[in-house]
Amino acid sequence: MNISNSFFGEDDLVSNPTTRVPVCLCLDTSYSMSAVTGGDYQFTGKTCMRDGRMWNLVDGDVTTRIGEMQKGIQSLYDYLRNDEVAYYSAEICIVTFNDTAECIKPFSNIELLNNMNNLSAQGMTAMGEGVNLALDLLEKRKKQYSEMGIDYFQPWLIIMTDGEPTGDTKELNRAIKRTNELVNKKKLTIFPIGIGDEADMSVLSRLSPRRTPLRLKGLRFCEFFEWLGKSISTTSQSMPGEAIHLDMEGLKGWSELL
Amino acid sequence: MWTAIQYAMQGRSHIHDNTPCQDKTYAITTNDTTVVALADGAGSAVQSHLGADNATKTICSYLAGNFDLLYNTPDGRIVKQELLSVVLDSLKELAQKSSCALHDLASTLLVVAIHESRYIILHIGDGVIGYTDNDILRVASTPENGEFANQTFFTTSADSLNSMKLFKGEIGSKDSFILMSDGTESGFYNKREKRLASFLLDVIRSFRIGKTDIVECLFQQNFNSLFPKITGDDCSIVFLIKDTSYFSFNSLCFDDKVSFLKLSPKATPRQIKKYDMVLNSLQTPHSLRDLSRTIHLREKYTYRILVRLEELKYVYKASNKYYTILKP
Repeated sequence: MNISNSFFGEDDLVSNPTTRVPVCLCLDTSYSMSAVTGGDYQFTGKTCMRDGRMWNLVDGDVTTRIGEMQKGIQSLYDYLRNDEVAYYSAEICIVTFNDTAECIKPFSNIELLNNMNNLSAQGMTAMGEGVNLALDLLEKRKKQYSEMGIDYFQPWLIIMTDGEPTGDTKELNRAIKRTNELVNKKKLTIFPIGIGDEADMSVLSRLSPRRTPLRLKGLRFCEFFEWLGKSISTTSQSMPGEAIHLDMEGLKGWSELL
Repeated sequence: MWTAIQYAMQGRSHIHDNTPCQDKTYAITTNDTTVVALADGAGSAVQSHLGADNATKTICSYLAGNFDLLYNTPDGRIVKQELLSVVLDSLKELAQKSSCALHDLASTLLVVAIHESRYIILHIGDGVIGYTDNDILRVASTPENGEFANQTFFTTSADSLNSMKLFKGEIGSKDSFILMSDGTESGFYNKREKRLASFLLDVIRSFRIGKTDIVECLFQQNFNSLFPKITGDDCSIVFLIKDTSYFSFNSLCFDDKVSFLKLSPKATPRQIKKYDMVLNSLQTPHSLRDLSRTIHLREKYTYRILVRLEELKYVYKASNKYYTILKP
């Protein structure tokens, strides 16, 4: 005999909030990120000194590093919107650093995130300040989760830069000390990414004691952010005692290990 | 007398990747001691389903045979060390036989042991242990997670002894215990408010007044249809309920029947008789028409009685037939 399904129903179950994966993107938006990487353009004959380098100014329909990074982040949003687990679990925050560090997008889940802001490149590279701000925001978010009784996975920090830090040395050293402590205590997952040939990989190595920094191949931001989306989804579904195996093979398509 | 009802369901993520269910439950009654245990194998520990199975059987057997000795040991740390070492010794033997490392057999562990009027509770890791006392649902032991959601403590963890919780005391008016794994927590335990879903009281009551096999079947069917929607994890639960064998609807006196059926105090013997006839007939499933004919009552009046009994969760309907969970 088929037994009735009315013994208890969905209304009888408690509603616990989804376990969150807090992810902070800490992005270099210094002037060098406006470097032209393709498109239809002409040299104007003018030059300028910015971000510690001399630049040839161009005119036309161009693709830039920052433009490609923005597209990549948009592809991350699109991926997370289509993943039924990560949709409710992932929370993204964006910190940019140039002359100063700024949070341009506080933690939001993908449901509430509009399309990616237009990023603009200007100023120098206050990396230490950016990383410290990102770490402060991650700590604050974890505290909010605890106060609201929301479970969370280990937070993620993605640092992307195309140059070397030019901000306050004390701030940089403080950032390095903090990331090292957190990573060694297994309280943070960090992905340091170098963009282009001028990225200072040695600083990125100092920020990441356990994971070798990766250099983005060409401008494969979209591939990287798609991999990031899949990894967030994998993490969202992990159970207690389960080691989270990220698809590091997937990284090789867009980056190289030093 | 205590009755154990236990259930474990393989999660959809494990069905998908062909991993066996890592949640195991066990119950034993010997020497007037009843012990129930539940263990949730660690996600990536390759043989954790074997470890969970071994841990539940070992701890139940040991507690059943040594309840008084353990209960009367004043220093709880000694009891914790003793219980943990019994479990670990058994796991080490299993590790050797299975040619795997000890940590491959890691699991959480939740245990309730009852002897006469006393209890011992043990808890390592996540999952929840609750109980009822005078119809109030309470939490005896909350989940122990690390800072992050996918962290907890296991039998084989370095700090399992420090994280272990151990309770003992007099049963008093406690009349049921509930053990659940973290998968089941997702629907039955409010993490923010640290309380169990209130309808569990109705479930326990149904086990107390109903035929165990039918109530169990009802529970499992609903569990199987609802839980895969809210979690991909394995889910398991154990109910340990006092005195389930003594209830019988027919043996209730008139006033008790009025109260049991939540009728007005002005209810007449004739009304009660109709309920008697319906409930006795529904010991076997009947359609509305067949039931009406059997008890010689018009369908619309029979239907009203059935609606009331369905609201009280004494009668259910399936495949167009009604049946009762109540013992005759």
